[in-house]
Amino acid sequence: MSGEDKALLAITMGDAAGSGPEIITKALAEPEIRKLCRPVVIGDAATMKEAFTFTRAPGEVKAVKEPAEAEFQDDIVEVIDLHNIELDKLTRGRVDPMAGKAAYEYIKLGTEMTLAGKTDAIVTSAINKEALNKAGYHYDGHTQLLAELCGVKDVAMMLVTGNLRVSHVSTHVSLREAIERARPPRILTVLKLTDEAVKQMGIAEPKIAVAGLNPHSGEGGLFGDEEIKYITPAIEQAKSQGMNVIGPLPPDSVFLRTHEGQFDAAIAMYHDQGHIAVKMLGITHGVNVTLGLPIIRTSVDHGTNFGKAGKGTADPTSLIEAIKLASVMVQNRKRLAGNK
Amino acid sequence: MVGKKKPLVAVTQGDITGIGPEILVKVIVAGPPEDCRLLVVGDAQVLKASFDALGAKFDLPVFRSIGEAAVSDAPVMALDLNQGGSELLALGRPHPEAGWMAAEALIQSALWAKEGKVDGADFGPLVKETLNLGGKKYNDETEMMHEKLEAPLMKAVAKSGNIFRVTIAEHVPLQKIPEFITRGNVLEAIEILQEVLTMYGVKSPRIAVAALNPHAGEGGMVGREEIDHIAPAIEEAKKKGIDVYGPIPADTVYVRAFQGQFNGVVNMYHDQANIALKMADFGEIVIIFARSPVIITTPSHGPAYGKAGKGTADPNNLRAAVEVAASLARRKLAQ
Repeated sequence: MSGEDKALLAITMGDAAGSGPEIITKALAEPEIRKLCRPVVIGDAATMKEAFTFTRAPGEVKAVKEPAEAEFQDDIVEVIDLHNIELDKLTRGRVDPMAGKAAYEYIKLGTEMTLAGKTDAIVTSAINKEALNKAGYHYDGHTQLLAELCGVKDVAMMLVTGNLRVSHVSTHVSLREAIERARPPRILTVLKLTDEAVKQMGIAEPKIAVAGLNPHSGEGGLFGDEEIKYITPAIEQAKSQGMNVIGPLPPDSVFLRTHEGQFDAAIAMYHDQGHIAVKMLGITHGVNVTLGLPIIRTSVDHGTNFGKAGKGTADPTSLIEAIKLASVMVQNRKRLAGNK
Repeated sequence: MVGKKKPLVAVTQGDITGIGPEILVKVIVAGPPEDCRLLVVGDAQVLKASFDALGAKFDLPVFRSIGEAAVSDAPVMALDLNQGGSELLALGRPHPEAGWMAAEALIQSALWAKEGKVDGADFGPLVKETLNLGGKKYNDETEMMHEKLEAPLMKAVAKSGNIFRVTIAEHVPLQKIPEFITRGNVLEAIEILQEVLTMYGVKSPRIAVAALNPHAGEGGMVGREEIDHIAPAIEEAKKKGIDVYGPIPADTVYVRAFQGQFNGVVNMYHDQANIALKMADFGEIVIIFARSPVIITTPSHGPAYGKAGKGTADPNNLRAAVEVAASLARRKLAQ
């Protein structure tokens, strides 16, 4: 792939007090990444420069004003410099409202640029929720913020680890509320979003498994009837719309079966149901994808890792995987649009 | 008591219409755990027939009285309950008579354990739907043992490899789970784990308590059960000297246990544990009955009717269950 064909990605720097900047220096030094995409970092140039001194990754920082200015040389990390971190006031490894505010600004700009078509997708680094809140931005995380910036409501979180793709009917709500949210319209929405996303990930005819809510999927109503009342009707609707969907399947085996390749994706009814399965596979290479946005967005699946900030030792695997996945999704979106 | 001999562990064939007899023969043929003597309690004709079915030679001493068996040096022997039922062997579906046979063998073994005539017991896979004894249908083996052994209600602890776990509400609709999450229930689960870990000889056991809500409720933002019930129970357990941690987000508790950070995990509901355990190979899962007057274990799988009579059933889970019973019996005898 050459030049213009490669996905142009807005990569946000995340929380400056965390290990995000260091991880970016490592990920963008990978030849494999440079072959796949054209990266532009949305961040603070001085912070990125300092990150290079921690990681000693090859390459150097160059500030640019617009993605159009970037030249994408392999050993240059081009940064749209928001100049919003005062390095002498920043303590690494600690919650800092300045870093929270800056992180918000990277996401906002990255989203706007991608919405405007200046970049093809946004790949986000870890933010610290507390820092974000202390800076006056009250969001429960990236997903809510991105949905608001994009003006959409029906979003869903998908976690991708290797060939295990898991979408969630609900995420950041109590278990009691999660049970209430597992209703046909929402399940159908998540199924549609998943079907579309898996196609963008390169699978032409996705086969999607739906987990039950209760142990043993309710065992015919013995251990709960949400499968009968809500989940099965949603699956029937999805099938009537042409999707290849199976379920409800017992929650304790559906994710393993998906991981083994029997299905292209699984739908989890609540946060922990999906997260328990995915995290058992290891979190170093997991990617978080937000479905339902008008833009493609992937993210690292780990936190700011304050403990490793400034040490140059943070693992870049999750960001590398997030960049790869965003690149693939951009390519397939173009291809699928061309087919229409 | 059985003196200085190796501990005598009673083992039953479970539901004989399923794979129970077959996996038991496989364990015996492969050589049972060396540090115990194995006593098959059940119908000897059925046992012989399952040896024949696998083309194995049946040469075990068969006793009619527990007194004779107890003093025998044989590594494996049979105690014939003379139940009949050979025609039900590997039938491949539940049958009330087989349910009764499994129940009688289980209760007889447990009663002998209670009388000190055997040192521990392990029962083969059976199903609740056919569990009956003395003309009475039982909901599960816990209820039956409670009544027949005149013992407190036992609690199942699952041992997966080196990790022991208790689930507060197992086969219950998810919607009802929050009702079970009380300070008392959480504390009891922690104490049960501590008891079983100590009984098994785990030095300085570390116990984790899983949260109910995502991110352990995030300070009450997404659920209050952690603050109202789980954390207070943990504090109380700590005051009692138990080394207990939590509430820990359910999506990392098994990752950490797998890394060796904990010996025991208290789960709030079925899938919390079972999703994690299926994604990684923790080892064979053995059920140990806690708060029991006797040592009693069972494999974690059912009679697998679909596999009955095919000769392909995997005996490793039963073997692990026998090993756990033997290990617990040895420790008890050494005390």
